[in-house]
Amino acid sequence: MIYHRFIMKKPKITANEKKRILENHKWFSKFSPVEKLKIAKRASKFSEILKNAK
Amino acid sequence: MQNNFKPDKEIKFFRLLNEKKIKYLLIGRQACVIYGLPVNTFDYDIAVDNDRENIEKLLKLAKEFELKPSKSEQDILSKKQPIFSLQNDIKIDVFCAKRYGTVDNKFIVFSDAFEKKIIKRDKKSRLVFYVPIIDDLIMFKKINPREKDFEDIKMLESIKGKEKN
Repeated sequence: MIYHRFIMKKPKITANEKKRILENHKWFSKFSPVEKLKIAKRASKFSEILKNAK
Repeated sequence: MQNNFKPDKEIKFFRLLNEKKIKYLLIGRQACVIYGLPVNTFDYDIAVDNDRENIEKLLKLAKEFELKPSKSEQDILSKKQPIFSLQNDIKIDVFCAKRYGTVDNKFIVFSDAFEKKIIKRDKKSRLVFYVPIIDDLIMFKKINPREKDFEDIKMLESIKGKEKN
C-alpha cells in the first residue's frame, strides 16, 4: 500500500504491536526455508479444518 | 470406509487438550476462521482457565510435545504471567488470567466466556474446538490489540450484524 504523505497517514505501530511482531519474527526466523514451508502448510491445513468445523 | 487422515502436531495437540479435559477457548485469528473470516495465521492463541490444576495439565501436555514455555513454570503457576507462549515449531500464545481488561475499559472474564462457549466439530479430523461466542471473541481481541486485530474486529462486527438480520 502506498501512503501519500498528504492523503493518508501511515498507521503508527505501537510499542506493544512492535514487541509482538518482533517476537513472532524471532520465532519464525529460527527455521530454514523448508521448515518455514512445512509450518505454513500445516497452518493452512489447520485453517481448513477450522473452516469445515460445524 | 477407512479414514486416511494423518494428524499433524497441532491437530494432535488440540485433540489431547480435549481428551485431558483442559479448559480452554480458541481465540485469536484461528477462532476468526471458524466464524468465516478470510484470514490466516501461523500461530495459535488460546485462553485457559487459570486454575492451578488446569495449567499444570497444560504444561504437562506441552512437555509431551516438547513445547517450551516462554516464561518460567514457577512464574506461570504462581500466576505472575497472564500471557506466555509455548513454542518449538508450533507457537501457541496462552492467556491464563482470570479476567482481562480491554482497550475500551471493559472486562472479559474467562469463566463467563467458557460457560457461554460454542462447540465446533470437524468430522474428518475428529477434532472438537471450544470457541467463545462472537461478542466474547471481540472482547478477547480487544485485550492487547494490534492494527490487524482492529481489522478483525470490524469483520466480526459485520458478521454479527448479518447474523442478527
